[in-house]
Amino acid sequence: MWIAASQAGDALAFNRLVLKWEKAIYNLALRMMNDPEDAAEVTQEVFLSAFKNIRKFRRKARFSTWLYRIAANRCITRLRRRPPANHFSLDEAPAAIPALGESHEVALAREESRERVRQALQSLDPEQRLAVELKFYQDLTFEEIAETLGIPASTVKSRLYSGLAVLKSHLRRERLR
Amino acid sequence: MTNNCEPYRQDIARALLEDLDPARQDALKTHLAECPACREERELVVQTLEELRSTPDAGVPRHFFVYPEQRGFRAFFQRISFPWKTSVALASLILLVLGSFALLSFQFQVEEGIYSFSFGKPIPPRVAPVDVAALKRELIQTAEERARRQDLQWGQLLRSELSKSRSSLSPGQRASIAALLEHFESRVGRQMVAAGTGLEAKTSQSLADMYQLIQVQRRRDLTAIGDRFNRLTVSNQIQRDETDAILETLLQVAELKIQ
Repeated sequence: MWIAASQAGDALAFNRLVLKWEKAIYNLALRMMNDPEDAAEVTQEVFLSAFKNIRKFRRKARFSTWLYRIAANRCITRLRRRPPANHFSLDEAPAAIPALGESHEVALAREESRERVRQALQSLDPEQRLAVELKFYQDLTFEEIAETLGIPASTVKSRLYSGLAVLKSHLRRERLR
Repeated sequence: MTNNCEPYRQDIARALLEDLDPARQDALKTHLAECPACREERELVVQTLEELRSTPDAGVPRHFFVYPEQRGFRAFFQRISFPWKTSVALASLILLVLGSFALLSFQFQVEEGIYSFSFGKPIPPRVAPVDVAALKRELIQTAEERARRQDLQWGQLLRSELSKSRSSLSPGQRASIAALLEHFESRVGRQMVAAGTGLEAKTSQSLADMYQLIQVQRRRDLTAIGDRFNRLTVSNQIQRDETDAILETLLQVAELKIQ
């Protein structure tokens, strides 16, 4: 319903879609770009592009797949132009705030784990990182990832498993430190 | 780890992601029961997957709503700053005033397909061209008509005198008079022809002189118009230069104000 209204030019309906998908797209961009400002820019570009081209969206396909495709292309294009620097270090990370009922130690361990994962993801090349992101964080199937990226499912699996192997080695090394 | 383990190592992650066919799953299960190294490897993959999945999403720093772009002059005008808006308005007003003055002094006329325009002074009346051929024909006709009338009058006079004298004259005398009259008429006729030719020549000459005079006068008039036009062009150029200088000064003032 919102998609149909957006295609008719209703900006308010489109912004409802933005509200629903902005967190997913922002986190995808953040894990890809490794910088909150870049991630915010990419996210805004994704939604602007989606709004301009909403009429081209065929309603037979899933809206999320279409949106992820735009986001993936934007991230890859940006990364090819400028590889992400390691801006976001543990020192700049937000302080570990314990959740309700959670001890400070647990909260700190959680933040350290997040930082390890972030650094491990940055050790992957963009295509591997994207495959991992879409599989583990966006919960897409191999076929959905293949459709999103416009590549065969076998290529998706190859990138994912090779990425997983790199992540495993990196995380193991960090845990043992 | 042995060489046998290598194919099973690759299957560990696939099994955990449910991407392995049942036959190979069973084979892997059997191998894991026998191989501690592969069990440890599986444990590492499980930890990796858990760590990946346990990383929560970050919150959005702001909303990423889309605001449709306004287009057109109105949107442009809203975007520019107040000092620029004032400068643009002032410059437009000055141009409007100057343009109004220019339009008030401007005159335009179309006559017989010829376009004429003037700034300030009224458009001079157009001098119609002289139809030389028609004038020539008219003059010749008038001269011929006059000569014919005079001839007729002479002939009529002579004939009336002759008829009056007929009764008192002898036949010999009448014949002499008739011969004299004939001779006189032929001489008059020759003289009339000569006079006609001379008149035609004189008329042609007069017409040529008149035509020459008219051409000279036309050239003088055109030169005067050309000079007047050049003076107007120069004065317009001076006015344009002055207007440009005023606008430049205004823009500089506006820029100084913005800074």
